[in-house]
Amino acid sequence: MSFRSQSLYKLSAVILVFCTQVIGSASSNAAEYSAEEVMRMVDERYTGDSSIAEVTMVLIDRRERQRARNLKLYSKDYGIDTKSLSLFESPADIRGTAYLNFDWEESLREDDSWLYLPALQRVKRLATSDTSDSFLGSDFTYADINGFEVDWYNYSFINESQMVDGEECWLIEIVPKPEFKDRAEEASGYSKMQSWISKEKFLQLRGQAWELRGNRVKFFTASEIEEIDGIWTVKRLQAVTTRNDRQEHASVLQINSIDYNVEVSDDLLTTEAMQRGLD
Amino acid sequence: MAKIFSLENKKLLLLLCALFCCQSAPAQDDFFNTIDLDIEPNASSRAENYSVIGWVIQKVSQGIERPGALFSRDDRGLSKIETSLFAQLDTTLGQDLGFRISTKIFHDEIYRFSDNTEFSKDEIDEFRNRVELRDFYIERQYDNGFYFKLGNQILAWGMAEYSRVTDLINVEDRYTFAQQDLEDLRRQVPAALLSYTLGDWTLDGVLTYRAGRNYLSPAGDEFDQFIGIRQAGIVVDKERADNEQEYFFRASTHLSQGDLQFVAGELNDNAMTLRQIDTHSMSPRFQYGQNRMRALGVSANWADGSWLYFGELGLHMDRAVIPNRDSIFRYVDGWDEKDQVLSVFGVEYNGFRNLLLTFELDNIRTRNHDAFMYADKNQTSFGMRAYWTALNERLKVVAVLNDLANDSGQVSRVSVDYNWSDSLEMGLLWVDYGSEPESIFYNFRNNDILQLHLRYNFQI
Repeated sequence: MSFRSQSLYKLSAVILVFCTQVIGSASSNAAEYSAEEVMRMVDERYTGDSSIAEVTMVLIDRRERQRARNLKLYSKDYGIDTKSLSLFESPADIRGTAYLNFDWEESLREDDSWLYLPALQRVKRLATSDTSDSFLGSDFTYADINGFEVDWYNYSFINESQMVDGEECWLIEIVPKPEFKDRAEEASGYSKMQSWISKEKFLQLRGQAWELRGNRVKFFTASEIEEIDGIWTVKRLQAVTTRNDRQEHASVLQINSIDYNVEVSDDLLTTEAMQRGLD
Repeated sequence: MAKIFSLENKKLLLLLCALFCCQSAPAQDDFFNTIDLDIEPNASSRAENYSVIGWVIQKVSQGIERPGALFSRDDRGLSKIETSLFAQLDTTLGQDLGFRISTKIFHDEIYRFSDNTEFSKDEIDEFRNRVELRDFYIERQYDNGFYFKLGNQILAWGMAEYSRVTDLINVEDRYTFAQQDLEDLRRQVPAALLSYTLGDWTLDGVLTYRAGRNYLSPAGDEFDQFIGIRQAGIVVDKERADNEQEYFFRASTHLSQGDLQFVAGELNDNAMTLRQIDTHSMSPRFQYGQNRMRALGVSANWADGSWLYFGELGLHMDRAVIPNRDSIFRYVDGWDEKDQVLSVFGVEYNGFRNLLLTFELDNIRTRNHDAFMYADKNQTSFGMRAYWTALNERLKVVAVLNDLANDSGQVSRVSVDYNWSDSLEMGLLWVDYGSEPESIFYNFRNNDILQLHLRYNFQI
């Protein structure tokens, strides 16, 4: 099982990672799950066969100056593989920039990714293995967005019943297994993580991650959670980067609208479509 | 010790304590609190059937060295006070029909500002005051897999950055070297593109008409490529191509972790080549034009982890080649035409955090090479680039070193851009030119600049 995707500018995965279907009897059986089973259930979720979303990402620096990027995201499942296209709509200097990603479930097969730069009017293939890079200049890394390799980590309960925004959560510590330590740290850039998982929705409501370098800690918060077409959807996701307990930078990802299981043409998910203005 | 408990110092101590307390670390839970946004997340502007974007750029350049007596500006000092406006309208004229028009307007105030420089009329009218039509096309997607695009457009087919092997359709901005904005590197040409998707392959056919040649610096300007010839009292005439139609074909596909494309074309060389020397008049006249040539090429890339490998291989047939200086008057009926094999191998590495490194090695091998040619039988060149972002992509630094093909010149370029807000960006650019005395590029060796720019983006 791998949902470690090496994608650049891949936003549709945000929706996948922070959405999940209601798991009917999960809550009543919550006590029977191990920490690893909980994380696997969060991972193995139905998120619709296709989706179209409009998203705003707000970047906030230490002086609280804010910048915004607006995107339109198309995603479609092909069996266990996923194709997605991200179109940047603003600001003006990056409008028309498009990112296409083919996420193959086959664990040894790397993603195929292309970037279209409107200034050059040219499609460029990307080498996209470094997932610890900043995503779109935000506080999210590609690994945050795309998730991590479940098998590379050990999981343990820190607290089996902690309340977050009125919801009972498991607080789980996630540390790399010794045999995967180097790969996991290279991929994520974190030495360890903590995750607050809603027992009712099997959603991550909060997260905390310790960076390998710079004495930085990141804080993730999911809010504005709505059930859309039977799928629990996090409409607001926030990340705050701190250093020595002071805020350095923050990012907010806001889903303005999302439609699941809608028609997404195969022709749209091609490098040719990235260059064409029609969508 | 005593002093520290004096009244004044007690106040200071209290003040320091107060400041320390104000700045003490908040509880960790505070970092989970919701942050208020000043920016209202908005719905997509694509709900509208049109969009207008654009920007205004103000540039001020300082010439670091003296270009020399050959040029209009022969002293160090301000070399550019340019204001440019770019605007682009996109609209849909139905579900599958789109239209785009864009324009860029330039005005360089330097010719009024500088008392020491005598600019020619061409320099002022053709280069420093320009209105250019950029994209101007309609496009239509058909349900049966066909796609049609007609009008002024860019079709960038190659993978290489520093050598044109398969990327042959569009002309280039050669008003300056390595100082252009990204959107100015290639220039739109009038063309009709017909694409068809057949299984995993996309087939493209392109017809251009009056595509013209590279945009060249006017006489006397800093990158006037004929400056040496003019200095020798030779008159330069620039002629249109004999055949103003060009044809290009491409077949492209995506493989697992890689892309592959084959390109063929019959075209005019976008660089000007000598067609004829007229020695009958008082001053010799050199007539330049565009040589007709044919090209075949293949390009491919392959991604593996943090590495991206790319390569191109092409055969350019009947390409006019520059003779050496001693042999210029040997070719009164135009330069020799030779076949050239062009190859590119490049590698890109993104394994370091927020850093992208690129290296490209280029080679041009001339068949039937002779002693009268300026260039060697094998011309090897390279380009390397480092692209680094910091401060959550507010800061972007790009460093480029390009050892030129066809010459013994080098261009070094470093740009630093800071994104103050979504609409405002400022930047600094340094470009250094280096060359050996025998180089064609030698005349430009002192055109190094330091440039400041301010950019304002807008969107309607």
